[in-house]
Amino acid sequence: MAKISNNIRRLRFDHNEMTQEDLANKVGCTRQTIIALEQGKYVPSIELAFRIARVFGVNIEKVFQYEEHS
Amino acid sequence: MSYKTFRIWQGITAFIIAAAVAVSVSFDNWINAFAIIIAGLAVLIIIRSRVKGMVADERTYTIAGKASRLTLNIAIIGTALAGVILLVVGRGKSDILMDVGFGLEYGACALMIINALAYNYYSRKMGGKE
Repeated sequence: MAKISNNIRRLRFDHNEMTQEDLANKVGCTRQTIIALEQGKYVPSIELAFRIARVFGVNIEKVFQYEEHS
Repeated sequence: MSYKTFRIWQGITAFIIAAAVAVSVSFDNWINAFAIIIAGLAVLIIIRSRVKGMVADERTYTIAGKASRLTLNIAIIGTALAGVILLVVGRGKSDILMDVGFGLEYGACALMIINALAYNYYSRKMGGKE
């Protein structure tokens, strides 16, 4: 079983407490998608993942982590 | 207008359109029903254009895809089962039930064929075929 977790919430706060709305506008998705991502209920496409990482100016693996459980 | 407000207005508009069309059809006023649908679509487009930010994104399309698949499965199984029940009940007793039963079975087959064709089209488009 694999799980993809993320640090979006922490990264938002590290970037001048960026709001979910601001992040959604910057990456071109809805605020509902950002909420779902932060709650771990939705795994983004690779394109959206890259766009989010680019907004925070970090490597994609700093935002998303792939955890494999047996 | 926020996305939440948009969803509320979208629901209200859809409800009003459905009710108005149902009333028009019950009075055999097909032109009115058609006009209401066109007007309703125009209202929905106007409401959508007033929303700040994005209304649909990849998550919305993923949800729509899953909902469509579930709806299709329920529709095919439901239609096929209803058809079989009508055929069994109407066999040798009612030609109308038999006709409706056959109609439902053909409908279920048509849905499966359309689904297979659409799947094949998107599979080719997305490079899944050699």
